[in-house]
Amino acid sequence: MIGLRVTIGVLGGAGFVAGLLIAAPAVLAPLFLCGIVAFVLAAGCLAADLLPLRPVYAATSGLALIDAALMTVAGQVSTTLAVGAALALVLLSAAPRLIRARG
Amino acid sequence: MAVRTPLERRLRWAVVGLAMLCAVLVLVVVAVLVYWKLYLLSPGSDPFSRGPFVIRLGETSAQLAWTLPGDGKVELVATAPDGTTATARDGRFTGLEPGVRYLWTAAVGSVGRAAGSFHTAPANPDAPVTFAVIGDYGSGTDHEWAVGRTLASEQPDFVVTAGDNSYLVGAPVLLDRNIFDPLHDVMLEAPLYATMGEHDLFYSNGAAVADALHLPNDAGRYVVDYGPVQVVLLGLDDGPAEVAFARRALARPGPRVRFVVLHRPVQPGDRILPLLRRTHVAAVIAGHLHRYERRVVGGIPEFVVGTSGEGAGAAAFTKRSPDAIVSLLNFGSLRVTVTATGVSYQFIDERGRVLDHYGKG
Repeated sequence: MIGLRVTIGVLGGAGFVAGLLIAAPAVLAPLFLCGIVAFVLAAGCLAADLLPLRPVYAATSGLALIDAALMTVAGQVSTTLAVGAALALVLLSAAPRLIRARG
Repeated sequence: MAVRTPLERRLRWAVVGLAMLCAVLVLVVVAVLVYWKLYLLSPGSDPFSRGPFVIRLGETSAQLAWTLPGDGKVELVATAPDGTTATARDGRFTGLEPGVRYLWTAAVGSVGRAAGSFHTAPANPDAPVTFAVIGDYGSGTDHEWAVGRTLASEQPDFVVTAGDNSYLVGAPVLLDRNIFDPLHDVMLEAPLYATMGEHDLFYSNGAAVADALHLPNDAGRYVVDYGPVQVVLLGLDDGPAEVAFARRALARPGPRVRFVVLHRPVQPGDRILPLLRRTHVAAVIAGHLHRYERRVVGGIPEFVVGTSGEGAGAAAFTKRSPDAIVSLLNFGSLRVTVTATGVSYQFIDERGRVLDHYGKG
């Protein structure tokens, strides 16, 4: 499911860049939309990583699912938090490959 | 990665698609819940189980009462038209200006939960005063609610009742249905000064109604002074004790216009009539008979206001008084306006129509 994971990373990156370039509250809309799409894709990614079970991949997908939800709603509380969640989404999408490369 | 058959790959994609569909469904449910909470769900329910309502008005003071379950603290603020504010202590405002309509708000937990207004008694003896009279009303009927609405729209300075505030009896469990709910809107604006009828006195000799309305005594025998107006409420009838009370009250100097209110109408030959004539009482106001009637008894105008909610009932018990100048079965209330030039009376039915007019001013 590399395609799904890459897409999630792209969405996280888009949210992060939007957070840097667009001021609040206008930035909340792209963060919200990226977060919703990432949430749906992360759910699919998690399912793929559970069948068959790949623990590291599944763990990062699960975290990406939570992080995408956070990215969707965190803008209501703090733009910084939402942008941080977007950056975390990029890292989580790349994490399995980095872990495998180091291992 | 292990080699998978095409079937396994298709199944895996199906599971992925199903998971994504589930995620979409979760989002839809969350969106519906958020929308419901933000835009469809009503705000928190009224924390007050009764009131707040105005119970006393003076020239420089006003008193409100309420029932609030639990330990919630109620903060009352009154604001004058010029923007000055006053804060109540134990429901009582002091240091107010005479003859001014104040807007008040009641906040519980820093959220405004009730609001209304009251008009302090004027210090100027020539200032106009308007009050409303209802009687035989406390039944919770549609007609009582309708009369309550018209009363609220009239914004009287205060409301006087001629008794029978709660049918069939003045039991605590009935009082919200019979008094506080139908008259809620007008009680936000004006105190309800009630006297007692038979139905109030059936239960605990009127104590329940008197306690709920914060009346000075159970018999409904007390005096209301409001600017140039004095209203002497006698209770059930004009017996010896009531006449003695009226004699003392009407001897007080000060008021320019005096009214006597009791439940059972004064009849020709009653011992109270010479006193009423001697003290120049403007009118006697009563209930009991479930009609609106205007009469002159012993030279004193008498208004019977007995159609504010309960209804006429059997014709045998609701006969027109032989000496009635006007006698109606319509539901309504009496509006009394006191001005520097005189007193006028209007009987206003439940639809706001003036069915009888008497006096000047």
